[in-house]
Amino acid sequence: MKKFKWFVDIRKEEAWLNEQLKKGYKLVKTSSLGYYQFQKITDTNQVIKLDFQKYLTKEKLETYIELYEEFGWKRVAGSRFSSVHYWVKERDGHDELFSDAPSTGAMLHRMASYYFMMFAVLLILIPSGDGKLLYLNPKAAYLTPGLWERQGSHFVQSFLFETPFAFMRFGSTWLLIIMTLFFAIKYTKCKKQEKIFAE
Amino acid sequence: MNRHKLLPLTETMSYVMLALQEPVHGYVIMQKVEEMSGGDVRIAAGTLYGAVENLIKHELIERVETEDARRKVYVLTDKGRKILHMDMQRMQHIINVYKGGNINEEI
Repeated sequence: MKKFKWFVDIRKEEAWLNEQLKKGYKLVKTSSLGYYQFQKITDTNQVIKLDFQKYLTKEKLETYIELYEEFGWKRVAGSRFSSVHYWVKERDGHDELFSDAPSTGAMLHRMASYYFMMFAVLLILIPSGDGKLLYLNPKAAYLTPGLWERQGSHFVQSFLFETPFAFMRFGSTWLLIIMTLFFAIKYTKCKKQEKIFAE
Repeated sequence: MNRHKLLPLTETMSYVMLALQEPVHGYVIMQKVEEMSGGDVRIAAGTLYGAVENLIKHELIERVETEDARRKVYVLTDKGRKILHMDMQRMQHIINVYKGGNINEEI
């Protein structure tokens, strides 16, 4: 089974993946674009937890995986270059990855700084000319001179011809803005949760 | 006195360091902690990984090579023993104050 879904909150993603597990679908693959691949299983007494680590060196990743495996966790998705790691284990009453407040807070801090970095990078990437955002208005994304003064079939033809290009121009601007907001929201949420654990 | 950055130790840190007075690996650390705390503290994988990373960074524990190359075994360093002892004295002092003892006693 394959599914596409986007999450703003890693805890909601975790809850959703646990719901799938209960229905007998175990995660086997993910991609950063929101693609999830599942495998049908019969043993539904399992739990999935999402962990967030900053970039791990090859050696650290080895230590990391080894230690989690000793505790019965199996890594089902995530790569060295992605920050989210997906761990599945047989449910036995000890189903948390973090057992004290400082380490839970530390994980939220790692997430928050990652989201802040993504936000900052995207903010710089938003295209602007003379301090104004480019192609914010769909009409401005049509570059054919005198297009809007044309009439009849002459207009329709030029308009349709340029529409895919115009869509790419204003679409990418808007996508960037939405992504930037998306990471800003993620960052704020993380910071809020982190505060709870810092008490 | 210039206190070490990790002082006072958290409950998890204290127990992990106490467990590492002799060389052991990950899962055994957790088992020893559970035993030492009378079942009160059961360290989860992520918490232990973070604690070990942190203690290595501050050179309070180090890796020891063993015959079993698969498992990473750690032990307290001299610096680690010193810090653990300092924290013990800190707690001892609090207990003395709590019991109404002399606050000016040498620690």
